[in-house]
Amino acid sequence: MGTDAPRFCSRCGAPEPPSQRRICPACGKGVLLFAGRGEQAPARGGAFVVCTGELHVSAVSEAAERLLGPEERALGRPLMELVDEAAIARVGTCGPPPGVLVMLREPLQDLRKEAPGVRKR
Amino acid sequence: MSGIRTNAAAELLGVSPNTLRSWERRFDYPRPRRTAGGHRQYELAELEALRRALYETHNISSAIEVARQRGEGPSSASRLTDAFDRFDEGAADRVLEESLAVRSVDRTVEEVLLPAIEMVEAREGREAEQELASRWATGWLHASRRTVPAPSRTHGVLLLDSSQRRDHESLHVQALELAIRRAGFRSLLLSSDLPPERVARAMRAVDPTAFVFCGGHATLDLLGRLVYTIRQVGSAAPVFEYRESMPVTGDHSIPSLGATPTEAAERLKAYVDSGRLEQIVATQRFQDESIRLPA
Repeated sequence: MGTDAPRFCSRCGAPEPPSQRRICPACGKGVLLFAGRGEQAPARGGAFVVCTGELHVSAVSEAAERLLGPEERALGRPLMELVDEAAIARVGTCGPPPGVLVMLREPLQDLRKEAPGVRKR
Repeated sequence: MSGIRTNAAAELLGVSPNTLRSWERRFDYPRPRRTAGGHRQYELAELEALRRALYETHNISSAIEVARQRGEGPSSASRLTDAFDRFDEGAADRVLEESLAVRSVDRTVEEVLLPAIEMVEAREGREAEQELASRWATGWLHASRRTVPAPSRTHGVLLLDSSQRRDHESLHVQALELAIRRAGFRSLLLSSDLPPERVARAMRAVDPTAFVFCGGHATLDLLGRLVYTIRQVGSAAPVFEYRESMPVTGDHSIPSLGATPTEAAERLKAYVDSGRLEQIVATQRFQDESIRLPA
C-alpha cells in the first residue's frame, strides 16, 4: 500500500485520489482505504468486504449488504460463516489498518450462506 | 467550557458538517453540547478520539465504538452523560475520579459535571436519566462539600435559592456553595421561599457578610420581601445575584457574581479583600426601594 496505490471507499467503492481525507466525500458513509500496491481496487458500487487478518468482517460495501445483510450484523463475524468459497471472486490487501479485501462474485444470488438478516431464496 | 463549532469539527475530521450531524443522529456520537442559541459545540477530546479511531478501523460504526469506549481525554461531560444513559453510577464515579486526577474540584464541576447535567436535561424523553443525573450530582457535590477544610475567613455568605427541584440551576446553586466554601467563606444555603421569620433566625445565627440570590426562579415580590427582611433584621450586608437571578431586566442595584461557581467565588473574594463591600452597601441602602415592590 502506498500513495501510488488505488484508493477506494469501504462503503460505496468510489475511487478517491490520495489526500488527508479519511472519510469518503462521495457518500460520507465509508472510510477511504488503499488497495495493495499493484492490486486492483473495487469498482464503484462493487460488492466486497474488508476483513481483519483473521478473516473477521470489518467492513461491508453497500452492494455486499445484499448478500450479507446489514453491515452492523456482519461486523466481527468470521467471513466463512457468511459466504461460501464460491462467492469469493478475488482476494487482496488493503488498509490502513492492514486488512484483507475480499471481492465477491456477482451476481450475488445463490451465494448466501445463512447470511444474517437475509433469507436464502 | 469552550467547545468547537460544527464547521471546525467537521474540518478536523475531514468530513462535511452534514456527515457529522448524520453521525450524531445515527450513532449519537460525537455528542455535542448546545449553546443557549442552539449551536452545537463539540469537545476536542472526543473529536481527537474519533479521528484516531477512524484510522484504526475499516468502518465508521466500529471507529465510533472504539472512540466511545476509549472515552478519550482524562474525562469529559460526554462520558459522564454516557454513564447516566447507562444508569451506571460506578462509571459516573470513575469519570469524575479521573477528572480529579488532572483537574481541580472547581474545574471538574464546571467542565465535566455541570455541562453533563445540561446535556442530559436538553434531551426530550429522558426523564429517568435526568433524575438519576440530578440525584447523583447532588450526592457528589454534598460529598465534596464535606471534604472542604474549615473556613479560613470570618465572612459568612447566605445563599437564597429559588431553583426548582432537581433542575440544573439547583445544581449550579449547590456548586456555588461548594466554590464559596472552598474559597474559605462560611456559607448557608436556604430556600428563598422560606417564611421571612425563619430566614431572619438564620441571619442572626450566620451574621452574613453578603447575601446571594440564586436559582433563577425568584419573583420580584419574593426578592422584595427578602431584602425587606434582611434590612429589618438590621443587616447592612450587600445583596448579590448569581446567574441572572434577578427577575428584572435593565438596571438594578444588585451586582452580579457572574455565571459560574469559580467566577462567583473569585468576585466575592475580590469584593471582600478590596473593601468594596462597604461601597456596595452604601449604594444599596439608597436603591433597595427599586426592588422592594408591594405584593
